Amino acid sequence: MNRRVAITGVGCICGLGNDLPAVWAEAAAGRSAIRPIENVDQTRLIAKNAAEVRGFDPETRFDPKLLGALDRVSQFALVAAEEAMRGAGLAGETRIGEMAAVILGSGVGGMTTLDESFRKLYAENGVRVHPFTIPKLMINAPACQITMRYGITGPAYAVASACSSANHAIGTAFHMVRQGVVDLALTGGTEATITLGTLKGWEALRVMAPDTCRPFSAGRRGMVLGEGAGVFVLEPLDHAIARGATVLVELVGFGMSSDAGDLIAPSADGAARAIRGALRDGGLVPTDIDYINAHGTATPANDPTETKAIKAVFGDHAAKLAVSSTKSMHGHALGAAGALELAITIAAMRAGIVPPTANYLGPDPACDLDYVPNTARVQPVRAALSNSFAFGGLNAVIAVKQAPSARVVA
Amino acid sequence: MDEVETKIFDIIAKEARIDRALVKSDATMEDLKIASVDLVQIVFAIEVEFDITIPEEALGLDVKNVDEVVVAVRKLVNESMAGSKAPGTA
Repeated sequence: MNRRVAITGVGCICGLGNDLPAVWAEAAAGRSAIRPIENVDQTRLIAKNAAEVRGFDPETRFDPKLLGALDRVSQFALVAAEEAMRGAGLAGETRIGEMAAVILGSGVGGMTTLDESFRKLYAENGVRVHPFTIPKLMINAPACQITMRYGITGPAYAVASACSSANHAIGTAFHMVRQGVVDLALTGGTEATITLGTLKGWEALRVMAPDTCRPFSAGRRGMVLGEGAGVFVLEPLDHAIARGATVLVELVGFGMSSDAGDLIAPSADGAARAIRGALRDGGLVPTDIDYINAHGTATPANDPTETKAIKAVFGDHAAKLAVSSTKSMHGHALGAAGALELAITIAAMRAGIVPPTANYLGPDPACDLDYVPNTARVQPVRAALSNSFAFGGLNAVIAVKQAPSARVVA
Repeated sequence: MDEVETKIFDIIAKEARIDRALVKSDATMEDLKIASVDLVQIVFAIEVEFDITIPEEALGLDVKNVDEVVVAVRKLVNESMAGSKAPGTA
């Protein structure tokens, strides 16, 4: 069985906004959510900026009894799932059953809970931590919370591959729906790691920008952390059409590869293999692609390597591609990154507007593609790729196409 | 009702989110619809409130009624106080 797969719902929360319309309005305007950190005391930080989720009050979003069991990472996932299910016309469902899956990526799970618990033990000499410490911090908690919310009793688990977690999750769910394992999947990624412990860990790697995130740009200093979640509703295209759901885009390809090289340094060959894999899996040729939402972390190492990989795969067509890194606006949300970026890519394809690479100062000789600097561009996108490349050398690339009806109209 | 009992009743009502008036000495966990996961939170809150550590053998998840909780906690609180008055004798 090889069924076509539709995305019929998208939910998104990140520094740019607490739902997809808000996120897209900011991204299309090229406004960055990177600001001084509010949730962690800055005095011990060197990199003092991040793209934090703001104006989000969990008390008003969740039942108090449920909230006690929800780390911030699960809160984001549930909010994004709710928006996605509402969009798909499935918000009222509470007993979806066993032909549905929840596959959710997260890099590290409930870091807020871990940080708070260990601070009590180590810093405050506490003798006990809250009984929900483990069920809140486990990486599969967000996926499980979604299963319970909608009564999804089929396959459910977390995928952890650092910055590629969301794309690996989405790709796996896509293949499950395509092959008929399930008829519905909620998938994406979630992350909430803006804690003192995590920030110090990232600082120690010396990949953090002290100012802001300037992907592919001259003067770039590194990455800036973000947080949030993106969740998608996947279903067979014919099911979506039959029940009158809006097909937002068609999910057509998923490519993955492992560098088997360095734990941290990226590989252009590994990235190129994943990009080629996504094209092949989607039955696409390079000239079908109009836009790439790049991994674009703005580290000295990633951006030239990613540029090299794109040129290796696309040849002459590389110069015609619009390539942007929206991490310049929502920061690097790690295990949620691919989900935020696919959500924005879908909004871009629906709007016919390519979001920019914000904070761009000028060209770097090693990064010589069209990065849509600073200002969004009105441009139809027939098909797009969303790249994620993780520490550990794990690469995952998603390919989406315009929904069939939209193609006919265009 | 002494202070220990009052505080425990308050904690049970708060942690299990039930009406304080329903919490009585002879009320069983079943009566109060207190699941084991609620009980874990109640035990945690009691430990924090009284600054004691409750061993599983003193108050397990098989606890029957509210009075069993009060008796177990009162014993631990008394031991704890005796211990702090005469170190080494507890």
